[in-house]
Amino acid sequence: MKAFLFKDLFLSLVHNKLRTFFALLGILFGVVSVVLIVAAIEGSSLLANRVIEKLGPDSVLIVSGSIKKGPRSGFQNLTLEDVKEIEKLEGIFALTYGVVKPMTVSDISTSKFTTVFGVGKNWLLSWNYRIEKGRGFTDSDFKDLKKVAVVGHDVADFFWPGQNPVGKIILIGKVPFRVIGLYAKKGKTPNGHNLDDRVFIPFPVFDRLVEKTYGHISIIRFRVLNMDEYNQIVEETRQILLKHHKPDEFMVITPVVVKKFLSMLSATLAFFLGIASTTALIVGGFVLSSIFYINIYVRQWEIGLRRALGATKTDILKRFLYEAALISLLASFLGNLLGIAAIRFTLPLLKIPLVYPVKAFVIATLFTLGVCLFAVYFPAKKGASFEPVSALRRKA
Amino acid sequence: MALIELRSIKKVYRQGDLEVEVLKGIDLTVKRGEFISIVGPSGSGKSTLMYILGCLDRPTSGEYYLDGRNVLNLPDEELSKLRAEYIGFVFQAFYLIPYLTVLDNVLLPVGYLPKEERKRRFSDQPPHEKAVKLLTRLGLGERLHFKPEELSGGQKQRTAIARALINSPEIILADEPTGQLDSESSREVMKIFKELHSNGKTVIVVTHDMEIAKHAQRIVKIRDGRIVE
Repeated sequence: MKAFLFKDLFLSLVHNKLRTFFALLGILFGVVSVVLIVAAIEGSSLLANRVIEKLGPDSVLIVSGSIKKGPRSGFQNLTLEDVKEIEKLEGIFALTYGVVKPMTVSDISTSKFTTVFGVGKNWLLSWNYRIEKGRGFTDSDFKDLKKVAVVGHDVADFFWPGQNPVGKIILIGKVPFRVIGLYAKKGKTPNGHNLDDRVFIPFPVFDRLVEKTYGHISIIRFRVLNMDEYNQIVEETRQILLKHHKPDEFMVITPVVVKKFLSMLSATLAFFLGIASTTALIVGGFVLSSIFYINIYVRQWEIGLRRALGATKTDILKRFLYEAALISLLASFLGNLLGIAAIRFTLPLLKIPLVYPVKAFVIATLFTLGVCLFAVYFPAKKGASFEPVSALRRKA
Repeated sequence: MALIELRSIKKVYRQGDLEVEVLKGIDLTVKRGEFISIVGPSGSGKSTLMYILGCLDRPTSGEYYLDGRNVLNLPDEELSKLRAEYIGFVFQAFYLIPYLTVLDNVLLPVGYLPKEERKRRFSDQPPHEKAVKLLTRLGLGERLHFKPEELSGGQKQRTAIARALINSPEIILADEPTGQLDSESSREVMKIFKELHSNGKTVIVVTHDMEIAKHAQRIVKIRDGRIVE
């Protein structure tokens, strides 16, 4: 009997091709936008998690610049004095610091624009740079002001493709540096900075030979041993910095701050997409409702006939709701396919990582089903309440 | 006991302020296995009477006993159940669902039979098998998978008759069953009704055509909402 009911339903949808088509079209865009919005929200939270993972959930990062003006890693508002004071804090490890300078490096024949970092002792360790060839910095590199550099794959492949970069010489400014190490590929940061296109040299050497900093630095970073003390340590750090700096000269970046900032972005996105998809679905619902209103009048005699054959009002109501459900599932299927395409095109434009969350498809399908059943309930109720006798007399 | 018993059935239609009394007190008894025709000119109230007999419409006043049950105050659901169990309708305009095949049209009422009743009535023969048998008996064995639009008028009405018979109801109620048929098809259809009658069905044919009515065992004439003969 179930099979017969399904056949009866399905054939009636096929028979009323045009109606089915417009009904599908009406709700399709609603489905697509719901898929898209859920994927966008999922994607942004994934993005936030990736940023935090790169940053390290236990890390505290202090950069020049301010919340208002944005971080300015090119500025050197911080000083070695700050580092010395922060070092006294208990419960922290892997304290390091650095300056950043985008500049040209060269060998005898070619040159390349890259980013040169003058870094403190723990830098490579603290940021999880893994040495692939050669070695990292040692204490004597700092003490004896050795002109040594650790480079990324993009730099090495540019100057010495296919060769071991360890032992090669590059010029930073006019000063020759010996490459002592190559770090393993790190890829890009979630916001698009290339982590493999970097050259690290010891900070004292940078200060002496590349650019005079007078003890000024751009970035300080450390990690917290016990997460319970995290907030307290962040607050203490802020107090130390406020002794020598104005509040808009520095910015303390913690995973919480990152998450807040990114979720603010995704909330804005969700809000606009939410309005769009709700509107699309409401319009789709109206279309569906109107189509069914027309349909129950066109098929009035059919309702009358089914009633004459023994169908109850509930049978008629159910039948229309089943039709709506079938249309809705069909639209959800097509909408989810289109949604995948929409995700592919839209999320990269918004710089959100590509995700195809099952959640999005489930939510879109259920939401659409709900809207469709609600929209069709009223015309279906109307159709079910037709007097069988007068309905029968209206043979189209 | 009579299968159908109507006592002073009245039906009033309201059109705005105007009240039209279509049936003005009908008394009618139909015994089990009878073949009767109800004849009258258009506007005599014969269709209204048929719809009331078929539990599809409710009288304004009067009493109606179907198989001993007073059906007048039954709720809507119960009336639907009665229709599915007791009555097979045959209409002038056939009313075949255009997107279903002949076979599926015939199977349509099965789903509206209450579950227990369905089990009981199809215990010895599943619906599909029975539908094929009925259609074959009515000469449509070759047309099972045709769509209604591919059939002639006579074939359509025979499909509708098979549909009326699928649930094995006691009563066949036909409203102008030959109204859209040529004389040969009309004769065929009436022959089928006679056969059904001789197999024990109660057949009630409503028509304006005296020639058609004459096929029945008993003729009830109706005029201006009253039985005149």
